[in-house]
Amino acid sequence: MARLEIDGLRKTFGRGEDRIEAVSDLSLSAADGEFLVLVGPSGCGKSTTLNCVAGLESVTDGEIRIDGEVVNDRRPEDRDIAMVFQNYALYPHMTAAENMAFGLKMTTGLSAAERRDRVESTAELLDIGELLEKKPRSLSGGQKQRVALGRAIVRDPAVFLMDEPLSNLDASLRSTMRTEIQQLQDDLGVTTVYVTHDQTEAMTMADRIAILREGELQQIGEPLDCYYRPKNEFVAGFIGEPAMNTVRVTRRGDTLVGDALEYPVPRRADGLPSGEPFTLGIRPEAIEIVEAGTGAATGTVEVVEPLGETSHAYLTVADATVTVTTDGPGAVEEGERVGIDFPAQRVHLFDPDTGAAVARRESLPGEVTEEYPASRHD
Amino acid sequence: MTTEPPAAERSLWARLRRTVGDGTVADFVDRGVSHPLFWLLPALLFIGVFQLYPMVEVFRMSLTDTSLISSQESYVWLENYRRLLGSERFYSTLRVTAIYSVGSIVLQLGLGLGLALAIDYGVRRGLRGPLLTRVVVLSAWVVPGIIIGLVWRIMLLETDVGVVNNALGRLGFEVVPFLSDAGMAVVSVIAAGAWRGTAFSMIMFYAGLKRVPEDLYRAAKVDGAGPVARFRYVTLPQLKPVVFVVTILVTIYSLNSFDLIFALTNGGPGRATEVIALAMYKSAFESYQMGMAAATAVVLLVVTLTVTAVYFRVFDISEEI
Repeated sequence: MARLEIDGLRKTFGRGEDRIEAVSDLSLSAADGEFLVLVGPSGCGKSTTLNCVAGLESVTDGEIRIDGEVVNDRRPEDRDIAMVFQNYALYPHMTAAENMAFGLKMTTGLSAAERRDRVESTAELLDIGELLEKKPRSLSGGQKQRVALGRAIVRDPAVFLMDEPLSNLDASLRSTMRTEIQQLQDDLGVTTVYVTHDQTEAMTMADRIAILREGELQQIGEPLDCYYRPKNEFVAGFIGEPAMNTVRVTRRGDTLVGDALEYPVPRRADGLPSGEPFTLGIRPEAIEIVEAGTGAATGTVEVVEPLGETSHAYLTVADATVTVTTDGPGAVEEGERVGIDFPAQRVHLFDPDTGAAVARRESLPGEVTEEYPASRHD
Repeated sequence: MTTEPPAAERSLWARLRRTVGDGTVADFVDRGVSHPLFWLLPALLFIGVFQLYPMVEVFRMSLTDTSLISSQESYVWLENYRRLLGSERFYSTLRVTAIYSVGSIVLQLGLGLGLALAIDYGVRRGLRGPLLTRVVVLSAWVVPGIIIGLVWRIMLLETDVGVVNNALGRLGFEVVPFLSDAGMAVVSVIAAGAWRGTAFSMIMFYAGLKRVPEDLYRAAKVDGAGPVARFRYVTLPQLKPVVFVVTILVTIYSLNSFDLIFALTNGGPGRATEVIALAMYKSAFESYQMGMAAATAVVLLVVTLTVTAVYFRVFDISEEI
């Protein structure tokens, strides 16, 4: 059990003109037993950060502390961590049991019988007892990933580091393993840092998410907080599927005016200057379909993608495409002209230059608040 | 009147058509191209003309008393083999070949692996120099053996003119009889052979090292394996198929070595460095006994095949290949 702290981490690769800063001044921490997910598009520095924590990459600047002790100069095996890799990284010539026992063999004085005991009890936990004598190449992707997890668990480390462990699995297995890893982490209570580019994984598994972009931390917080109260346009666009709709608007008196869109200024945005441009963001599932000519804007339905319980409708409003998540099939039809509207508390406003959120909502849905009665004109 | 053939005939006709096609050229080409033999033919022809036929011819010749200086030829059957296996010279060449081969294999594998590891290490760390090293080592490999033999002979000259002896002399050593002492000559021949052949095993090992997934090393580091343990538990097992192939190829090459030794010592002093291939050459082109040379070649082939078979037995490569 341990607390992991990353303090002012900077990591650069290359020299001179080829110098690339992969991580810039990153500070975050994971509490004892916390499941922290680092998420972001490729090249955002999340894997580099994980490698720095693991000791597989040196740190250019800053400190990494595990349980208060600086581990910058410690070798990986002296950091009390275990790691799970994207492509499993099982030793091909060893059986599953030998793979799992290898770390114990290298770092502990346990006898072969003791190692065997620990491997077997871990295998039981993961339900891979019958795979122990098999070599990796005769295992399926899911089984390999379980063995790789077992190799990490058997070491009983202070911190688990997982580098996109599910991205090589097919979709259905991925969601099963997602639940399983979460369950395991819950049971074991080991501090875990999990890297992924998949925002669904991040949202569903994390206690807290850290969203990175180009080596910089954008926001760290609970999944729903990042979803409902994004700190900037990047986070708003990255978290949530389908992505948030954004349109350029200008405040004119009490109204936000955009191309073919008019919307009353939400109460929390009262203090914003008039005549200034903003980016208005609204999630597809926050939009309601209303009669054409009413609501905030009117557009034409171009494409409907039915998903069963819900459908995604793509509307053209002026020149922009707006995505709307509607209930079930048949809510709208292709070619239909419809109006759209949305509740004020779901409106996000961003500075068009910096992307920073302005007049952020103060609470999450369901929280007791006098801030937003459920009306459009709060 | 209808010209429709009766049912039985019709089916026969259909079968015939299926077998011979409709007789057009396009159909013929089409069926020919779809047959595996068509695609195997060039390789079969090549192997047949340049490998199988000469092999059969050598075997046939080994049963005759063919000579380069006489047009007469008669079958003496196993007489050549009896003479060969009964001669002391044969066992001496066999012993020299064995020593030369073992020395070459050990040195070429060891040096090749060492160099490959060094280059791989350099490349992984972005150091300068690996390319230059590869070019230098490889240049030893592209130079014909006969030239390498001559170069080494000049280097090892047993006077002050020889580069090596000159250097040793400056350091205060006596002149070393690199080529005139029986023991030293064997060492010199092995050294020259290894100097040349190391490039080949280096390239093979280097290619093998490139194939080792980086993540395995990272996993091993996290698992607490130091450099030696990583080599032992990650690199070596991953290189096993390459070690196997290199060992076989270097062995075959060493057993058949000729050009370099021919130029460096010509088998001397005495027969201290006379390998089987050199003895075979001498039988053919110094004693003009083609039959005897052919018998030696057949024995060399049997030795090579036996050694290779033993390798297949010893290396358990069923999993890797």
